Amino acid sequence: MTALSVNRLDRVTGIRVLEIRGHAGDAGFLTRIASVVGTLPARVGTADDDEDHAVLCLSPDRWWISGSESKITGLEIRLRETLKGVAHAMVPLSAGLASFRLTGPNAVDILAKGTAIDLDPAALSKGSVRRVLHAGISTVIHRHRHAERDAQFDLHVQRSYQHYARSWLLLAGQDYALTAGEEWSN
Amino acid sequence: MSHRLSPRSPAQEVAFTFNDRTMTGHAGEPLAAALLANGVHLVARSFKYHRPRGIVASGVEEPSALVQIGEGARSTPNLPATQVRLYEGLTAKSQNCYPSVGLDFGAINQMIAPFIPAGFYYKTFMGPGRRWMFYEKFIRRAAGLGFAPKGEDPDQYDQTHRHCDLLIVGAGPAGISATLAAAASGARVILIEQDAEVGGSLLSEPDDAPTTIDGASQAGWLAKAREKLAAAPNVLLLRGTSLFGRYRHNWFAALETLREAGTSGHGVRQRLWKIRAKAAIFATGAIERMLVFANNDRPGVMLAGAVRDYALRHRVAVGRKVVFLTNNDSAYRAAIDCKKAGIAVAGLVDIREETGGDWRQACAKAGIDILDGATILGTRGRQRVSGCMIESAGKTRTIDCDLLAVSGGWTPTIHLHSQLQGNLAFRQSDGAFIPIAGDGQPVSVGAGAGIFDLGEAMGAAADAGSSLAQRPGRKIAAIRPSVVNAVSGQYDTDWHQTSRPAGDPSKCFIDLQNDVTVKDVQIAIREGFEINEHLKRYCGIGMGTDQGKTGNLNALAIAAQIRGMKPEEIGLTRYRQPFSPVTIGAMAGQQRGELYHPCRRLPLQNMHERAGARLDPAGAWKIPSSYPRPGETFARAVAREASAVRSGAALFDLSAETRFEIGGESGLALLDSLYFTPLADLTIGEMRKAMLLVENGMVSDMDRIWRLGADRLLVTMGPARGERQLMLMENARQSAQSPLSAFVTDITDCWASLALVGSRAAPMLAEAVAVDLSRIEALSPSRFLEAGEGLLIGRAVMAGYPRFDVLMSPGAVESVWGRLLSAGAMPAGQAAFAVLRAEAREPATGFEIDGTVNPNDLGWDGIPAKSFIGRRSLERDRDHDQLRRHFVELSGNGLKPGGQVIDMANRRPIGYVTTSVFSPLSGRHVNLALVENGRKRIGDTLGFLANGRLIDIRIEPALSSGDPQK
Repeated sequence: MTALSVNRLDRVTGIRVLEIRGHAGDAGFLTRIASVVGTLPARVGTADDDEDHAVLCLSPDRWWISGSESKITGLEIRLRETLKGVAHAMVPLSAGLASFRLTGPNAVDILAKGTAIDLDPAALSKGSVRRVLHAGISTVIHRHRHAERDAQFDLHVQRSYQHYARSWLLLAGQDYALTAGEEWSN
Repeated sequence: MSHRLSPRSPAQEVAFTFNDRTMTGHAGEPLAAALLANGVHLVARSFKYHRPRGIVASGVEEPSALVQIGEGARSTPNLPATQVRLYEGLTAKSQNCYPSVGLDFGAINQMIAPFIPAGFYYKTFMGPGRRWMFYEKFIRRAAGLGFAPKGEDPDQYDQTHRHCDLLIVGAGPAGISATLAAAASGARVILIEQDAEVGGSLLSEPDDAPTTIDGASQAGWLAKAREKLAAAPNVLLLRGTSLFGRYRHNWFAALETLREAGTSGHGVRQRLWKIRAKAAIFATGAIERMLVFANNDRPGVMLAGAVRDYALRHRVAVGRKVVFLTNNDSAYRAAIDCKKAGIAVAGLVDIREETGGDWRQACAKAGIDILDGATILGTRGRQRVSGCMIESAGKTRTIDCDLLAVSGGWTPTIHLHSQLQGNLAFRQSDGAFIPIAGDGQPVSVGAGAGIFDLGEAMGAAADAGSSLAQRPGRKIAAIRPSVVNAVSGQYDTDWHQTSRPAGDPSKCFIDLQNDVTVKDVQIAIREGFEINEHLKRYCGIGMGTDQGKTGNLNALAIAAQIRGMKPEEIGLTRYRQPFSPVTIGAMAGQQRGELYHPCRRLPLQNMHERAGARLDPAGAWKIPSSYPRPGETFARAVAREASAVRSGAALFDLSAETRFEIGGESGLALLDSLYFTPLADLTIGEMRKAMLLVENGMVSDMDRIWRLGADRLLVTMGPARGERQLMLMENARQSAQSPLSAFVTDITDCWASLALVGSRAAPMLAEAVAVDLSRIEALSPSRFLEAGEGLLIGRAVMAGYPRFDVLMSPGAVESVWGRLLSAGAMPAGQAAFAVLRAEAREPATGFEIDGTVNPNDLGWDGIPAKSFIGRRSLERDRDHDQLRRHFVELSGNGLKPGGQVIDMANRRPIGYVTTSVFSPLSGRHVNLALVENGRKRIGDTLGFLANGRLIDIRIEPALSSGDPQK
């Protein structure tokens, strides 16, 4: 396990996020998605993630699939084929999202300044996801399952808020010497 | 001359100034201790009478010694000298005095004191009402506290959140015991201590105290406990943190001070903690009460416990000749400890007839004279006590002293318990209200629960810690400290109101901070303000920075005496948040400057800024209202941009509009069931403007619906409506009788959008994006097409000119915008868009659509034969159409939005102007209005009040350049 000694905020680029909506009670819908993406987390607030993609269950009828552009594009084509005739909706969200990765020993302290949810590993364990109000804006917080990423969170915000969110996180991280890459474009 | 006793441990000496006089003290000690060590007792002037005031207490309860700390923008007023930690270079000043605390012109108020009792200004300044603002200036100047700094606060503040299994407030012996017991179970514990040091009352114990805890001396036990707390990974210890507010559902707010007021430096100065706890323990200790007697506010009159604290903990002898005055046993212990520390004790005056035997013997052993059954008549001295007058056995005597240490009993600190209406029980034996814990409510322990025996307090606290930390699967270890030879026992308090000679005009103060005397309470009750909450507001008792911590119970008891009742029959006033003052900076936290509120940026924001656009707020967005050229006025810029549609095209950035994608085969049915406008026949490739009502039948918004495919729809609407609209659609979707295959997703940020309006819009667009627009040339119905580069192009009409809406990925908009400008389009802002909208006579949200108009008022006839939100109300509302205001146009210049339209026949207002803009397209003002029964008045002459003069205006139909129903 790699020890993370510095706190860092990075923009995550090159990922694609696909939102899938459907009826959780529709066994056919669930089975067909699972046949394409692997395990489909059914409990709200849980995520199934591996190295190249993650499936996040955000509400009883809403899932996000995120990963590399090529991976998700491939999954999207297969999903559209598989879900024909099944009540569902599929919307690519990447163009409207900005994703950050917050890592470091004080990642929880920095996040805790902006959100009222319990970020302790006992409450937000690895492999958990929450859609919360963070710094006053809707944010999806995903804590990675992998042990080596114990102090790693992926944050997804609406694209138009990315400058605000970045400035806010940098201010919150001043106490913890949080560093970030260059300013991002609009 | 130093008043330092021999120090326990070496301390770092620092220099500070008080009222421009340089002194030295020990780093980290309270400013009050440093002032007392330098022999300073006169620290402040009182609130109303400008009487000299000194340091009374040693903690947060300090009512009098309020000081202004720091200089310039970092200056902080009204800080108790007991709560400010000393640092090199600290500057402190007395408040509410001119020219100095020693010679204060405001002291003239003492001469007119009989004319200004509590509540005098409620009566004196009753009228005339308009003069109050004049009086207020002088009242504020005469009676006030410190000054707010004029500059912006340069310090940084922040806020954070934490959850825990158990929150423990107070790190005295009881709080520590509870924490150690709870921590052993593995529970997540937060321990909060307002002092910079952990230990509470144990910090003021003499080195040779006979009490042992778990076999160690008190200091030894405390040192070990600190080590355990530091080593426990599941305990978060917050020192220098005041838990000031308790709210519902075990939500607490605490203020941590990381850097003292007035200090400069980087990093956060104060942090506001928002804590959600599964359970809580209040180990908040007790606060000593003052006794009420004549001139009990003179500098040098202090609480006995505070005198002991300063002597034993801070090693400061606050007096050279001290008289103790008490109604309970605790002052005996203070007197003995002070004597042992080297302070001369001139005597102990006990107002009770019979005193505790053990303490009496201990005092005798220490060589302290006791005068019991005595009454204090008052103090003497000018700006410092020089003696006190005592009456005993019918004789009056004066005892010379430079300090009078007073103990009126101890009040459990029940503020947090009381903030959420916790129940209290009055205990007659020590005249105190004791908290009663309810089910699931925080538990009070130690002195805060009225348990003054150290062993009993620590044992009960440990039990509470263990039991509240219990959760399934958690191992509980019962850790009950063993306390031997505890010297504190039940305090035998005799509730007593001391008297003074008849005719003596001296004031007996109850609330030192608000200058409230016994006489004020008498007046209030005489005038009918008998209920405790009325009494508080009439006199100001318990208000201010100290919230009456030392005086509330005295006020209550005296009021009870006057009314011939028992204290418990009157009851305490409800304590409210905050327990101690909170800075505005901490309440703002990170929300200041550019982070004051969440701010959204357009994909083209950088370009707009470079182009010199004037940006105006629209919800969380800042959108261009115009692009003035150098030297051009805003009005001219707007006129130029609007005129561009005539011979060319104006290009608008509409990226801030809200967009939803509706997926699923029932999407169209869902929208059709919500909107007033029928949508069931919307074909693929068609775009329709749709009207949304609210339940009362009034128009809410005008949205546009784009049918992208058999099971895909796009809804576009104005900015800042996302959350409300999403909730409405989700609510309709989820509450449908049978599950709808319709799913709503906010895709506002997934798209950017431009609007190109003008006579040459089509050729410019075709040139810029290489698209064949012939498929969507027909104006009705409005259609759209999907073009290369992922563009979605819709065609409509605006103010008689073609309008093309171009939707695209945010990543593509910069390129498309640039190409359209190259093709000759003129960038235009929302102000020009508003001109075109008015020229088109299109009702707009916030103007004509103001929550009071229904579709019929706007010119829509009939009610569609389908379901929609507001249908039932709309059907009823049509019965009253004679009284409804219709959307019309008014002729005339000089009309102002919001101005009243007058019926000249009976001089009655019958409507108002909603929009009035100058249109360069028609060369005149376009005035839109809502006028009662307006469509029946077409051609009538009405009046408009402009600059105090009625002018004639004519009412005309609001003829749209395009039929709004299409």
